[in-house]
Amino acid sequence: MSKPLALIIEDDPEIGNILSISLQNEFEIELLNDGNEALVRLAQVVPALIMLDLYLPAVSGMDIFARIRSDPRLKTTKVIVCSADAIHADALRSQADLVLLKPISPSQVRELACRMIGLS
Amino acid sequence: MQFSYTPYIIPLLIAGAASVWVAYYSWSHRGVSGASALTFLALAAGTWTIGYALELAGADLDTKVLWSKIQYFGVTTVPLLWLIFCYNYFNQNRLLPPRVIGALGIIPLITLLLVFTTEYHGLIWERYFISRIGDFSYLEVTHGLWFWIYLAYGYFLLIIGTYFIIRLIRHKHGLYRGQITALIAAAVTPWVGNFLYISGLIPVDLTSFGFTIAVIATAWGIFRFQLINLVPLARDTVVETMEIGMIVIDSQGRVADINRAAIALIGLPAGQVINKPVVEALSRWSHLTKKYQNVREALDEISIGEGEHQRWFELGLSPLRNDDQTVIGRLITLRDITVNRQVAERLRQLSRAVEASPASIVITDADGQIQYVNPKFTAVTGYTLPEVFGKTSRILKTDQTPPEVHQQLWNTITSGREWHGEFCNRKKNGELYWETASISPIFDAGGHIINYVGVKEDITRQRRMQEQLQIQNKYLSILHEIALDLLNRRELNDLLQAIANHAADLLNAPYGEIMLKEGAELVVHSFTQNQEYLSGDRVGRDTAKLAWQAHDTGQPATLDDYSAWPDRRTIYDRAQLVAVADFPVMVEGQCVAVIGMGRSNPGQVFTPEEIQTGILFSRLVGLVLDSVNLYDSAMREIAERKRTELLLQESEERYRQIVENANDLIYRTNVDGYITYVNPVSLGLFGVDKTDSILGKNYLEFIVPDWRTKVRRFYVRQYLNGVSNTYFEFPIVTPDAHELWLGQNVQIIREADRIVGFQAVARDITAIKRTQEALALARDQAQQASRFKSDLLAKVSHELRTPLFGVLGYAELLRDNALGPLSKDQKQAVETIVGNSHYLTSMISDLMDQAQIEAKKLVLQFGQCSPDELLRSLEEIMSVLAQKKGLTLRTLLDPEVPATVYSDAQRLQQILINLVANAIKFTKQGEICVRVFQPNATHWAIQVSDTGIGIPAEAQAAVFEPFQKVNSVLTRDNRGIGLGLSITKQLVDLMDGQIKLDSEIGKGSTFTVTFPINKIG
Repeated sequence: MSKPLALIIEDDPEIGNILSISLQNEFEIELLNDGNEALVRLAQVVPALIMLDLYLPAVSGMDIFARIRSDPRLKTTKVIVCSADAIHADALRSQADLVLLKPISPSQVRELACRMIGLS
Repeated sequence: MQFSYTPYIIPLLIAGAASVWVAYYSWSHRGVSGASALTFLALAAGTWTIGYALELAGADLDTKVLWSKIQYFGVTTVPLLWLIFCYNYFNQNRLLPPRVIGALGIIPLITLLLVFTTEYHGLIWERYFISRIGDFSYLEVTHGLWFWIYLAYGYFLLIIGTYFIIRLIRHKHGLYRGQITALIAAAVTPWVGNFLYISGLIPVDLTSFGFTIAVIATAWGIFRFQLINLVPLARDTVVETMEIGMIVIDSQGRVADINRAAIALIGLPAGQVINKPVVEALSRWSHLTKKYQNVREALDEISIGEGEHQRWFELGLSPLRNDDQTVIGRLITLRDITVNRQVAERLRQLSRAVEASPASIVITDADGQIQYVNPKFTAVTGYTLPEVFGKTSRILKTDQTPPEVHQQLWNTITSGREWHGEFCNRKKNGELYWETASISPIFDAGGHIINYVGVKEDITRQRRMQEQLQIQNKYLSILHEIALDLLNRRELNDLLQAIANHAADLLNAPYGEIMLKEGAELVVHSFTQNQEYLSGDRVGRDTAKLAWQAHDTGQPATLDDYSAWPDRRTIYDRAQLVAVADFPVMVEGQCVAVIGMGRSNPGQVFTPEEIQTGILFSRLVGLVLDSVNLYDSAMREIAERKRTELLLQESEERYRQIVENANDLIYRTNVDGYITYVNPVSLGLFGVDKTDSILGKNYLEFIVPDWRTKVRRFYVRQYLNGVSNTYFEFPIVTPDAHELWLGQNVQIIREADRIVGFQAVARDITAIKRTQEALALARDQAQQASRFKSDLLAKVSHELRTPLFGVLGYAELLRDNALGPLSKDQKQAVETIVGNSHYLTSMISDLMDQAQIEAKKLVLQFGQCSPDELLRSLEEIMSVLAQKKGLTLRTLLDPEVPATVYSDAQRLQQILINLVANAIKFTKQGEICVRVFQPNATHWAIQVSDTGIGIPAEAQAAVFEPFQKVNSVLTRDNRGIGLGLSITKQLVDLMDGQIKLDSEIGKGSTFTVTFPINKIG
């Protein structure tokens, strides 16, 4: 059985790496580095989980979040907003499935992500 | 019917014919009294006589019986007609009433009926038959019962008639008595005939014949001697009704005739006088009878009686002669001239009265030239009769009498009427006097005016009294008016003014004033209009001596020439007062006011009468003032008014000073916004010289154009809503082009509930405004700086967190051997990195929160929160941390707490984590207890208690301040930048909650956070 797909949309390669490592045991990871790339990919796949940074080149995380929420195909997709900007992150708290403020423990990320999509 | 001639009938027929002729003659003179009756009497007698003649002539029984019966038309009526004739004739103008005639006619009528029916009852004739003596046959009858009855009745009537004749004889004394006697004889004739017949002495009934003779004799007597004519009537009427007493004395010196007037004079009944000798009849006047006994002719005045009863007569004595000039008697006439003598006497008295008359009497001729004046005229005018004789009344004339009076006088008297009127005339000495005059014309017998008589009376006194009366009337009417004023309760000033005016009017003194006593002063309260200078005049004892004299004495004080008085007040000099009078007004023996009166005409002093009137008037004024306690209330009113005026003056003055000297711009506008007043400050403020350049302009002209609509709208709203006071700030442009800011209070000016304008007090707030603007700018800048700081912090935080994530992420991955196993030292190092990373993270979070709060960017997200869930989540997060320090974290949820509360779950958790983290941080052993409960119906609370070191009381207040930390010692155990409790407090405040700290050193601390329940934001 294949692992659920998790898209990590993060322009910082190190953080992308940390998140990928954190989730790689439980998820099929795709790391996307900018907004455009993310939008293209989101039109193609239906991930179980999206880890979304807000500060992104080209298209901002906020816009991507709005696109996800407006796409019926993605209505089962869980979105964890993961940002260093507490203010913007707060703004999405009611809409996102989970908002995490960087920095965050990789173990916590894994645990929360698993709990969210029903993995033990 | 058969007749046979017998000579007896000849005289009967002649007598009958004579009777008919008498009847005819009488009828033609029926206007004479008694003539009508005589006509019927004659007819009746004729019927009887002729009937009897035919009876005698009758040849057989039937004829005789028939004519005998026809006779009875006469027989039954003659006695009655005789009576009527006698009565009517001798009673002159009185007729026997028809009623009596009717009554007397009953028996004759019955008799007549019985006569014609006597064959059946025999009441008239029991038997009848013809007796013959030779060739003379006559009807012999035996009379029945009724005949005798009627006979008696007939005699009765005849006797009565004869009685009147006898009365006539008594009455008709003198010359006519003989004729009357003849009449009586005539009347008696039938009686004799009848008697002879009835008694049977002769067989022929001569009664009718006797009647005929009587009638003829009567007629002869009447018409021959004109008994029935006017002459004796006129004589009787004239003589009897004459006022002049008339006595006829015959040649023997006896009274032959006397009229009623003379009888009245003598005082004896006519019976005792007539036929008596004059000496006897006039025994009362013996001196006269003696004097005139042998005097044949005389005309004298005699007097009879004495005293009041004395009467005067004109005695006339003249001889009476018959046709042959022999003296047969004397006629005495007595004319009562008592009245004439009295008139003459009265005339004498009158002329004496005229002489002594208290009225002036002037008699002029028809041309008005004086013929006579009486002594009174001289006494009044000073002119004697010789001085005025032949002159006209013009010598007395003055201008005072209007010319039309004289005109009217002449028009009246020349037309024959009497004139009444009044003149003002001049005496010889030039003095004027008033007189009333009655002037009447005197006519001669031809109705021409021959004289005028004027009766004149000096009425100067009356006129003066009349004037006094008029003054009295005026006084009364003023009294009435003042009483009315009093009733109307006019204001005191009005009343006093009325008193001053009335007094001036009443006493004919143009200068009037009334002074009320106020303490030691007399204060002028009202005055006539010509004394304006007296307004507010107050005088003490030393100044107005006359008024005070009146006040002190309670009596009027007068001067005949005030201007010359040494003690006069110069204030009156301009009025040039001459006669003055001051009247005290007394109330209960106290002088409360003085009424002053003055005249400026020289010589017009106050007369005693005027003074008396003035006293009465001031007494009235006293009553007026007293009766309603007006005086007291007046004094109160005056005092009150004075105080009010003073206060008003003071406040006005104060207000004026305030307004004039205020730094504030004070102005008023009318309701349309046009400026009606500005205070002088405005001049400086507006940079103008005169208020004129502001007055009359609309306030909006001064408002900065952009603001005009706004300002106008503001004040229109104030006007419409009637807001009494508003404050508004706006910029204006002064006439000298300065821009100023005004802070303006505007009050509405009302008059009788109507808004008539606005009063504005405006202050130049330009400087304040500038400061405010600067402050606002600074504030904006500060706010901007603050925002910038927040943004910066956010940026900084973001830029810090991102690399920190790299550090923390890799460190944890390393620690968790996600990147391969580590040595013990390596692991130690990685742990340190992880720990510091966490510290850094929490520090950044706190800083961020603080920044957000300060920048007011923290947005609360309220929703339904479950306290139970809150506690479980807390345990999940914090129990590991507590356990690491060997502490117990206990949570308690009171059952009464609602299942959900409306709040921000995230921030609640943050608050709890902060408090619990803080508790763990400062507690070495024991437990941390978190309890959720409901302290009252409207609130719920979270309580975090620890068994830690506690917080000293003096530091408790400061624990919620940012960057505060008890002891301020940064130890390894409780390091931090001290934002936790401060953020907590700020969050609680944001969420409308309260946080409270209870703590004791060494025992621990309890933080209680209370929130309102069900507050749905």
